[in-house]
Amino acid sequence: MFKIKLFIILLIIPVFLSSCFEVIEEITLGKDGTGTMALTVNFSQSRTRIAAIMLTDSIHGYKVPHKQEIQQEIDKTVALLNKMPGISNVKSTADFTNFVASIHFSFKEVANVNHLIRALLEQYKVESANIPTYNYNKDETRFTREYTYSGDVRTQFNQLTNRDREIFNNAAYVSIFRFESAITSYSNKQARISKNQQAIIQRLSITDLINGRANISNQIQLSK
Amino acid sequence: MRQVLQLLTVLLFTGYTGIAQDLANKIPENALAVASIKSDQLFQLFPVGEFNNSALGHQILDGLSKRTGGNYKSIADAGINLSSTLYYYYQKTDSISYNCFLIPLSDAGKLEALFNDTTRMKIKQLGKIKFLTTSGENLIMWNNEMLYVAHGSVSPYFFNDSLTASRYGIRPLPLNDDDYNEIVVDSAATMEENADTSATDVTIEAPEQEDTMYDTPPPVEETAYTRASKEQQTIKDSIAATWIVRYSLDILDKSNPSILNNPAYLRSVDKDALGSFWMEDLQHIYSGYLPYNYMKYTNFLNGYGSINARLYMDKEHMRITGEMALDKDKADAYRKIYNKKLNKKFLKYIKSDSLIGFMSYAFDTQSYLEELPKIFSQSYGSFGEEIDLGGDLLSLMLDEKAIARVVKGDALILMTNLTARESTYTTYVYDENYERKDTVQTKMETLPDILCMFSSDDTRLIEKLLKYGISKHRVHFENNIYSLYHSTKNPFNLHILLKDGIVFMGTSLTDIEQINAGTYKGNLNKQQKDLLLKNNMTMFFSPKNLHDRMPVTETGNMSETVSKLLGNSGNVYLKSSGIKGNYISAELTADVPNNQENALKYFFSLFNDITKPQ
Repeated sequence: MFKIKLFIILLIIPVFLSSCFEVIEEITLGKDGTGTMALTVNFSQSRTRIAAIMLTDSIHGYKVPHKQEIQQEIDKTVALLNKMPGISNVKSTADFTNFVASIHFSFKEVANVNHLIRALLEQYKVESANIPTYNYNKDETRFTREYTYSGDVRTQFNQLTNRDREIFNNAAYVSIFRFESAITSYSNKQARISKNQQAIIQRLSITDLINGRANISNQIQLSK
Repeated sequence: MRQVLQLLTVLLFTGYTGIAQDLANKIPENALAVASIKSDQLFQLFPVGEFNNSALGHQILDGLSKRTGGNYKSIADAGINLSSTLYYYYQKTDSISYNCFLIPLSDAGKLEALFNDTTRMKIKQLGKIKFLTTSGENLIMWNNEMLYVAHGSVSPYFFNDSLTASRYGIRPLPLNDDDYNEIVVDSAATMEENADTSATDVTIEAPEQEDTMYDTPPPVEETAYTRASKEQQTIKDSIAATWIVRYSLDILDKSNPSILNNPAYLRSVDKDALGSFWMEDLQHIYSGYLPYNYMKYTNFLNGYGSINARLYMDKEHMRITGEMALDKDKADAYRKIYNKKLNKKFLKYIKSDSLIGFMSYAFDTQSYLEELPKIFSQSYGSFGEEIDLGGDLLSLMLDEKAIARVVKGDALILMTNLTARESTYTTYVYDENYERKDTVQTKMETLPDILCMFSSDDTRLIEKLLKYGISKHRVHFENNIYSLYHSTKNPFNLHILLKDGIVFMGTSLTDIEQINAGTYKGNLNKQQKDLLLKNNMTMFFSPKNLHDRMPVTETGNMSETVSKLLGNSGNVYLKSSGIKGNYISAELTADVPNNQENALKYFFSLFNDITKPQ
């Protein structure tokens, strides 16, 4: 019976089900430099595909984790974040029906977020030079995200098979920064400012980010 | 190595004239695997002239011309006899394993012209035999009749034995620097002393470096360990080179007992087959790779004998037939298990004209449960008693007959259609101030319709299970049909119907409703009917029907390659008819589409489509 199930699943996955996901990064920053951050990964558009994949043990040579293993990884990340200096109120959600996972936390200053990203990359043994750095200058009320593109991500991406690369084809990245005061100027013209002028959004495709066609650096000047 | 690879590429597409010479008599009697390709059949399907003008032909000929400074216009100019059979074989001893190719020649002079001047200088000659060692492990040897390409790998375990190692002048690797700075034994001298002097007297130089350019590696400080390790490797390579030359000379020069004395090999040979493959029993090969200490664990393939396969290509089909030998006990067990035919009632639910694919099997559940412990006890020889005891306990607990009434052992799974289904997903909208709000949106998703059926004379247990599902609100029951709606664990809606001793499970409610009402109209063709009724296991896939039934939106998203591949491919069938003699057999057939001349050209065109840059 198992073999039949596998036969059907293997026939279905590659041919019929397209994949698509979105990553949303939200930072809400107070005047005093404290704030909250939320990261959400939403695979809901691909949920039929993921549900089918999760019935198998491996796909394209990669091991498929069980629900419990995914939950354990999330719990491990929450535990790590809780230990980080300046980080508090760490909460996570994982919806295994729609395949949406998110993590929220508060920070004392944005520099804490920079440490946190490095610690996470270290934990998951990701070597990357493409790490954004956040900075908030309280006196000058200026928030910056610095991001320098390096080709190593593209090199790693190009090493994937076409089939694996297709997963990223329709993947989107959304970044939102919200502030207590109005934005007077910003450097990244791909970003859009909200009606109340206190939030800024940038949407781009993940493949553009990987290939260096999009830049997520931004220097945002806030009113004093 | 590059030279060897180039030569092998040429081999597949060369040779045309000359008297048929069969080189099978040169393959040692105790070879573990043999493969062959009949080049005359290959070039009947793809004439040499056409091949020369094909993209691959041009690529090979241009490469040859560039490399040799010659002007090759035809693949036949390589000097290889193409109206004959090319062989590959594998042989293993406790010290070395050989992968060898035997290629009949029509003109050895033309072959020699393939080598450039520098390489030609390195050719050695012994009587009528000439040879070239391209690295410690590779050898090319030829006479006027045949070309012999050999690759030898020394067994990693062979030199682990310190006595053997010291016999060949190999010392244990030093644990610290001082250990190795002792008196160094002249390893070459030691080798000579120990060499088998009865063998042909050949002097082999240390292996040469391949003429490949490498990036300069960062300087590594040479320790006593690395130095000793390098020295050992040089000695091992030199020993291997000596062995390979002696071995190859023996093959070319002498008339030894050949594989033609092996009846199992002879069974694999068919004059109509384009290619054939034969392999000694897996247990034998598998054990050969393990050191003696682990031999006791190697019984699990016991009872499974040699494997053979043949490839046939003609105007209408590409066919691969394969067999595996079984010993008497296993053959008897499988004969009982396979003593079952597919339920004929299944056939009226097959719509051949629109079917995308199917899979069927028919095993006797009762025999399966009864024979399984016996098969296991045979495989785990050293734990035979324990497995036997476990088997008896299992038999005691299970009522094989009762289980066989619930699941008789035959099943048919059909992929009937593709349906676009609306599905919902969660995403986010952002208001004018970029506050996020969750929202549910819909999209169309194409899913296959699957219809499965299996026979059951006693559906009470299945009904009980389904009723339990109803009580737990997991299963919905209406008009005789049990429905499970999609969830995280089940990506599809599944509808179940118990009727006429058959359990139907389908993703399409319409199909199940029609079966329930008796209005489902099948139209099975004769080919598929014979396939299903005459075999214990079958599979069928129609790439064209899949392509035709795919919604335009889906084909639009698909890459051109996949779309073309599906649209231009013929049907594929797989079947296994159970035990014949003491062999279990299987056959794979791929139909050649009408617009293609023959199977070989069809596969070439598929290959071109796949590899063509986007």
